[in-house]
Amino acid sequence: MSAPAMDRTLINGFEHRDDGSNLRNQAVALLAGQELPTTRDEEYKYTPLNRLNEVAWVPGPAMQPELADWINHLLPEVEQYRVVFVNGKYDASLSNYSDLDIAFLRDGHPVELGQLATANESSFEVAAHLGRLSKPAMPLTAAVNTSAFSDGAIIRVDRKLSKPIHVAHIATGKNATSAPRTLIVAEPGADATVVETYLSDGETLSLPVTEVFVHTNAALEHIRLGNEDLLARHIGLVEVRQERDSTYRSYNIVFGASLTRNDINILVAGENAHTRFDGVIALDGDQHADNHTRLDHTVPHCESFEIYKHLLAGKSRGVFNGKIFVHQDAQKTDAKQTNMTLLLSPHAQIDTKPQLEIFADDVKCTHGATIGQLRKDALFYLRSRGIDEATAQGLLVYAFAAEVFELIQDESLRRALEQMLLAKLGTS
Amino acid sequence: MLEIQNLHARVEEKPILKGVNLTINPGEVHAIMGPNGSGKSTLANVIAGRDDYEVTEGTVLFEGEDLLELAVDERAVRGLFLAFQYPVEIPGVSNAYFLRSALNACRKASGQPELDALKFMALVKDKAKSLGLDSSMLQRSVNEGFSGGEKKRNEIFQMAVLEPKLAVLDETDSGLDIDALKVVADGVNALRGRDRGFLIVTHYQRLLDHIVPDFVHVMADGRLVKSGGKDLALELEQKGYSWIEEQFAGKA
Ligand SMILES: Nc1ncnc2c1ncn2[C@@H]1O[C@H](COP(=O)(O)OP(=O)(O)O)[C@@H](O)[C@H]1O
Ligand SMILES: [Mg+2]
Repeated sequence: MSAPAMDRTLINGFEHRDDGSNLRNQAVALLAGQELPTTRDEEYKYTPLNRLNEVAWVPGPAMQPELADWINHLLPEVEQYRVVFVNGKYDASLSNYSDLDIAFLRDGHPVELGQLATANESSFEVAAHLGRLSKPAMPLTAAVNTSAFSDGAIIRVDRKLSKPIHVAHIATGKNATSAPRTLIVAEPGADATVVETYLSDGETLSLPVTEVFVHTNAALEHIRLGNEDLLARHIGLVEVRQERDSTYRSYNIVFGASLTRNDINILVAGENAHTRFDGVIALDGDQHADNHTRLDHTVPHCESFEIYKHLLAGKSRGVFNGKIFVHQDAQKTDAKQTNMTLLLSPHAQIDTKPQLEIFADDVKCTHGATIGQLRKDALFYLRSRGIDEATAQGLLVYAFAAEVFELIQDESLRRALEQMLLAKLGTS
Repeated sequence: MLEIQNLHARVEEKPILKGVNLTINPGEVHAIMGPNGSGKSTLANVIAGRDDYEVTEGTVLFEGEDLLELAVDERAVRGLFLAFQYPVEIPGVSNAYFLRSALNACRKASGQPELDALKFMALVKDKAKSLGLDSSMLQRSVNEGFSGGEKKRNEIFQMAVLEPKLAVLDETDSGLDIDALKVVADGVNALRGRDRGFLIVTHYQRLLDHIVPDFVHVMADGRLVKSGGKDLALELEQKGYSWIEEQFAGKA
């Protein structure tokens, strides 16, 4: 073809930003000559991405949306530090993060905006962290993000925060693409919650990449909420690295988008680390969500617990693949994976695949999967006390997911998410 | 308030109730006794509206209204209550949330304002205590991890909060020690009154020492084959059920 290699992107609507940096160059090199994965690719068997290019996606336009139009989606009842991006561009008018140490990427380059951050520190963070995790086994979609992203948040926390940091990504405009990029660095002593929400008002395509470093003695709660318009597509990657004595809790919540594919990869690199990574995926209509998680236990004495819950109505389809690798040195690992699905309609479908690969001999690893419908005896019990059928169903469905939500630390945030789930289930 | 005429019901093609007739007037306490498998729970569940059972013949009127035409929850908000033989565990739904939803559904149906969480707690705390239930149970999931006795007391607690017009108790006494039995009986007796009816299903007469019934009926093979006063319960206790089974089981 006549297009120069430099401009080549794998997916319509993403433009390669050639700034000569190693990061970009590596991504472009990775993309050269590649095709989007099809059903023949084992990892994409239920969710081929080659069909993405059937839409004439265009780069998301620079917009300044009205706060009033979006505020209800920005968790207004939750006290928060808020950082908002619109089509991948930082929007100061919608943001409010006061004294937080947040730096930004602008046009791919670090700039200093946070009051505590200095330009040098920001540069340091970026040099030390950005792109480090997503490099080696980067899915092609992540390479597209790396070749194309413009702005991004660099969140660095080194203390206990009293309220969550909310990074909201709004996608807007017909067939608009965006490549959100977020870097979270929890320094020793950090104890914080970061919520990423993904929003859209129509047929948009987002390819977000989030890199998370949880350093020694840091605790990070990381909530990721996909709540886009039902026409949107969302292909996300989260890469996490945990050091010694750290705690990382991930909540992967998917309510929106017609097509979702998330990859969450966690590398546990230090001893005595705790990992909890959960998912609540509530779908209806024709929604399709494919969540792949991978956890690598590479060192001894670590503990991980994973529970993914699907609530599937209409003709929706859920796909879950959970890999846990216990490497040879990772003795005394205690890993537990659970996958539970509630099929709320005879036409809903789930494909789940637990994949435990254990190369150490002194470990405790279990996994279990259940698929079921609402319990008739429980429905009868609730209704026999006067609760109407729809409400009783809603209660049971909600109870199914509650086990995951009840661990979320910030109460107003937990309630907001619960309300969203109830609204999604049509029983609020 | 409850009029059952010639009620027949089956489950999976198998006839279980074979012509039950029973009338309960306001203020009356009726007991149904009978051997295991005679259909007592089936009758209780058909009254409550469980859809595993198919009514093939007969009528059930509740305060003049055709009960069989009403959904389970519609029956409940009209004042019908079933204390389950086997209360159901519902992980993830707290007793408080469950019971407040139920109470507010009942209040709404009778035109009363709904109660917020605070007013609800004020109302239920004492009732829980009087039934020997620690009020911390309100925050626990419905019946989850409860002992057999706690589950039964929870049924009576729910009844005390919902104040139904007609309460059907299905073997609420089974599995209770004597202290718990008295607590449950006290709970029932506290609710006895001119406007309220009870149908107490039991296999043993000992509960009836504490809740003295106005009428006792014997069920055998899907029918009420004998009725009498409270003395009938004692007679059954002494003679056992075998004579009834011999006399009536063959007739099916
Ligand atoms: N859901 C059901 N499915 C199949 N058989 C049932 C069901 N419920 C009751 N039965 C049968 O109906 C008969 C009456 O049962 P039940 O009403 O529970 O008796 P009781 O309460 O007097 O012990 C028994 O033979 C029982 O096995
Ligand atoms: Mg029974």
